[in-house]
Amino acid sequence: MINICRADIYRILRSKGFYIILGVVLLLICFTLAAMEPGVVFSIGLQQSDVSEAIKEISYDEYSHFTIKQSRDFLMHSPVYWLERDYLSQNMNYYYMFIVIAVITITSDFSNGSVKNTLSSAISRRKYYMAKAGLAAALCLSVLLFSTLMVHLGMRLFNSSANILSFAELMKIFVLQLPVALTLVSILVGLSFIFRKTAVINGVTIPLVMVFQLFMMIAKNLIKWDIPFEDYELSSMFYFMAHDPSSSYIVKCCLICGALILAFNIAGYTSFKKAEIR
Amino acid sequence: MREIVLQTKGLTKKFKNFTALNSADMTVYRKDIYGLIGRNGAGKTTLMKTVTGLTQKTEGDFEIFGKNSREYENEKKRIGCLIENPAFFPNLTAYQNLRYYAYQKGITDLRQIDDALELVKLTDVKERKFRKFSLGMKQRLGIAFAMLDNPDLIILDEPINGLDPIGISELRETFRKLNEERGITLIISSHILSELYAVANRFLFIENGRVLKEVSKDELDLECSRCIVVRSDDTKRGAMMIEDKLGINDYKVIDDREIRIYSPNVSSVDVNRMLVSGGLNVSEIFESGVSLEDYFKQLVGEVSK
Repeated sequence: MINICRADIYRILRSKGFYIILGVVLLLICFTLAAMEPGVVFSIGLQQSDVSEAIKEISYDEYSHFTIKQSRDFLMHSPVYWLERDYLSQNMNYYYMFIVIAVITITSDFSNGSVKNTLSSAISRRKYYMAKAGLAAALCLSVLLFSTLMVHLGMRLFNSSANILSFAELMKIFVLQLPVALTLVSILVGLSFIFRKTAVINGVTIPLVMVFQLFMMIAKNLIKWDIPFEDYELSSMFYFMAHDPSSSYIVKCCLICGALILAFNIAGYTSFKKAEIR
Repeated sequence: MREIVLQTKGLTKKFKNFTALNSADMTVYRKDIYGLIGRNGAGKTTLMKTVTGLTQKTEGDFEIFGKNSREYENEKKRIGCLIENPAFFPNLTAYQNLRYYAYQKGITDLRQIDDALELVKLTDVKERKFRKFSLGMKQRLGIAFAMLDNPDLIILDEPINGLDPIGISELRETFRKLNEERGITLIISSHILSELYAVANRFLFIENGRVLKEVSKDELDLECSRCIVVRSDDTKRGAMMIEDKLGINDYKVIDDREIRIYSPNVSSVDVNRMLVSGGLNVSEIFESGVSLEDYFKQLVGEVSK
């Protein structure tokens, strides 16, 4: 399995995909640091940004007329606003980065047909699955850690007059969000092994969250259904895990994430085990 | 006794209502160059994919290096494969693609990559990206991949597809060299009979997923060579007369109606005269000699009847 991971890292470092992800992450961080608001790839979270809390002392109307420089100055000196916390609470954004990682790690192998070279003369399907799932998780978490550290570093270098989290606090949020991030990875790994073609994976995973959110929005706003699991939906979990969650909430989240991780990995592996490799 | 590298017993693969492989039995011995002959869709690729684990068998079993289908995972590194079209990462060069698989197989001596590329004459283009390769070059890279890490068994599905005549001839020599010098067992499938005949020493004829015949090259030569076919109702007595009166030992009793004489030093007229004068009822006598293609057609025809 280590050999498979080593080979894949050799390959991934020679492909553009991974560098594009890092570039987008850096761009997002630059925007975040410059605007003092979290850069958002696509607004998919049900939760509000912490900015709405910070602007309570002024009217939203007034804030909406602020230039980027004015809002930056306002948030920079707000005693209740913590950019890093706000940025990390929007980590659901990384779903789209994770899709790219799942594609370059897993589905590209199926799309090229090169998976048959590995399975016919290197390792078993079980080890292949474990190696690929492990590598995808490691890469996704590395990207998440990289962005967390870069935001923190950027804050210390460029926004030192704003509220800055201690390193321990930052790492605490990262660790609390790990199960949620792993769930996200597992969903993508499972789906990658079920559908096995890049085009299909893109077609399924890109609109998946949007469709899910749409149903949630309809349930919440149109039907006025008080959704009991709203706080346990992945983007909510990312948000609350960054805002000093209670122990019972952490336990519930871990149980939900564990169940989802198991379910998607079992589904992915079962489908892959029976699959005809072309 | 010769070491068995691969043996299948009643190996069957069904896709819903379609049986792609029907109770196939085959035995490949160490140092064999084993030719799988069959038309398109005969089941050659399915057979190869089943024994390499790319598709799951429906019934029957197989053993590779003495390990059955549930135990042979650890033996996979002893196998080199090229199944169907050669598939590699288009954005990587030929060298990088092989290096990727070298890492996968845990090969530490990376000179093996250059050796494999040299063997298939791709050294000059090793830094060219795979997507820019011609069909023949892709095929050769696939063969280089199969040869990586000096496997004990190489399985090649239609390896000469897309190769030019010189490439085919060079590849034939490479196969012989690998077999003779390194003792590698090869299983090669093709629908081009003459090419397989030129390199293989044992053959499996397959049609509609069913094994028609498994023969050695000597047996095949014998079946296809020029001979005198004698048809009579008493082949036992006829055989004795051929041996005693003509002094010929180079003959074969095919069944209770047919004898084939392979000796080149006798004519059908002499044989007929001798048998008739000895009181044997000869219903038919003629000279025969079938080409490999005719032999295959004959086999396929017999099964379809």
